[in-house]
Amino acid sequence: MNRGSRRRRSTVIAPLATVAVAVMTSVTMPAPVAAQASPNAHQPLLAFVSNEVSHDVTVVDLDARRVIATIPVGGRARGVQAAPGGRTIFVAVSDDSPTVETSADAIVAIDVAKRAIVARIEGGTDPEQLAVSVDGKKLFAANEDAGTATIIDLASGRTLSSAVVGIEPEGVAASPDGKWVYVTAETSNSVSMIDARTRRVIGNVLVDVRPRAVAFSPDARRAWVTAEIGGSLTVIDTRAHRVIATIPLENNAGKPVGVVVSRDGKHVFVANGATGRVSVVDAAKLAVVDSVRVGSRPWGIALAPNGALLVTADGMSDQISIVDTRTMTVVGRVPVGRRPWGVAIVGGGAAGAGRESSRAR
Amino acid sequence: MSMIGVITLAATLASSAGSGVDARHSPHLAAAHRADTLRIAIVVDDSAAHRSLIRGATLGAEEAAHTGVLFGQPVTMIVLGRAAIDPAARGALRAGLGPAASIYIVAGDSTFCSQFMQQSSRPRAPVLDAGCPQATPIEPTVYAIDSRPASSAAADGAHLELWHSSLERFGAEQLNQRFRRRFNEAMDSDAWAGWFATKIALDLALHAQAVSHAALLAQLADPKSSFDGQKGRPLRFAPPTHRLVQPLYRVVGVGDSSHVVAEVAP
Repeated sequence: MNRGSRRRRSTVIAPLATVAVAVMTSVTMPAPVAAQASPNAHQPLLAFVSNEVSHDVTVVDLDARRVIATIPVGGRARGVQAAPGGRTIFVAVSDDSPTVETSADAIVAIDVAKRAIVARIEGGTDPEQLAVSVDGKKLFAANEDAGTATIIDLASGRTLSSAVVGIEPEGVAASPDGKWVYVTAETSNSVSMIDARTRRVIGNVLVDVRPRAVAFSPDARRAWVTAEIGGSLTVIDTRAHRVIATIPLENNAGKPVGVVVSRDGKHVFVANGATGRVSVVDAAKLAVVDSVRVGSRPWGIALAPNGALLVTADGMSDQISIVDTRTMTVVGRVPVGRRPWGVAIVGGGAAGAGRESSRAR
Repeated sequence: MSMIGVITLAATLASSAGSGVDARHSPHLAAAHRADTLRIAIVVDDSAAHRSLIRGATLGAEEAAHTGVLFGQPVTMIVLGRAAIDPAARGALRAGLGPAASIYIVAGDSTFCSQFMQQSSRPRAPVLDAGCPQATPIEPTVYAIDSRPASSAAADGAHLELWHSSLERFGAEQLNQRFRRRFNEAMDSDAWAGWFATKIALDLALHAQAVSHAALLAQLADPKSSFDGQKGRPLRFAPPTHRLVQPLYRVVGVGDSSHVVAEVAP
């Protein structure tokens, strides 16, 4: 239920059931990303775009604005995340039959340099979105079918535990301080908060209708949750575990999905699927301060490591849009696979340059 | 189903003629008689005729119970038969089984629905009409989920449905999958109405942080209240009519050969 001014309900509960399940990987796992060397400053700026219908990942050179590789993944590619260090990309893959379950469900690891799949990890049933811990040692996946979030040890490929969250879980994010994993659930309108150390759900909060994605601020003090049907952005105080604001976007008609926070934490960028626009939210004022039109049905959104470029996966345009975060203008569009869903960006120099913070907005 | 009064889910659904629900698969629905339990009562005049609605409501109640666990909100579902319109039977059953339901979900013929709604309006209990004829008078505490016009057949043979098993967008595919996994059949309009009614019931309780009739009715009456029926837009009850404003679907054919030809915006 969506109530504009209602009081949000937050309950800290006893730990829910956890189940440990051993899994096997089909190929050798990549080295834990924490052990990987820092990214090369001269590494090209690359976008990895998951394509839901063409069952592949498109690799785009963002400087040259051209496709340099297409990697088949063998299923419906949705959630995509870069591991810390930028040498590995993880993609959630599932079957695309509405009534038949297949063995396609997996999380694939793509080696950025080789532009090839180097591991296939069991990530529970129907993985949709995922997150990688800041130390690069664990992977968290939302299992839409099962109403669970799976925690996987990347060194061994083993499932460490599976936490019960809301119905139809989707968005997953790991806090930059390493303490929390937040998981949204679309049907329950909830966000479950998992203690990353104990791997237990320590509380749940009710948010706006049909929460999709979640992103943390760089200082981990706030989490930002998009609500597709509510048409809003819910702000959670991560210390109090409670909702502190709900910000309407695009007159509540934007059907927001993807969300990312600027490197300096001053702005939040939200992809509105229905209106084809990216909203820019001032993180201090808790208000929309700008927006830019991109392609049709942008869902996935990612920020370049240096913060200078923003990329959206425009699902119904079969393209990505590249946005200059200083001017908030589209500076390029690149055709990709069919029905692009998500995007992750690696390379292009060290993170934290924060060019977007110079925007006078 | 003339003899059935108030029965817990475990007893009713396993034995209800034609409902086909096995209560052993409802682990979240253990009866709880705590004062803060959200008691959802399904009121039907014939369980076999409303098998699909009961199945949808069962899925919805199980999901409500799952979500309720996250927020410390117990949920139970019970099924009432024709005895629900017999005051003497209701009183006896209530005395034996504890407090009345927090909210009622009703389906049946016009006489049955009218009698039940008139009775329910007196104690001002919230009622969700999930399958009563359009001509049924709307009492102040009744909110109608089926907003199809009385005659929904068109000259081209198409008819209007609340839902179809081929819908995919905005979580429809996932909902259809969950229903098919649970009951090995396609979700139809009746099943969706049952599922959605129970989802509304939980939403009301979570936002009211109470399960009293007054608290739930206040949430229902609030014009800002909206609900997600997995149809791609917030759904609301129109204030003057209490009927749900929602997209409908023009469907041709029947059963497995049917398909949606158009979405009809509200």
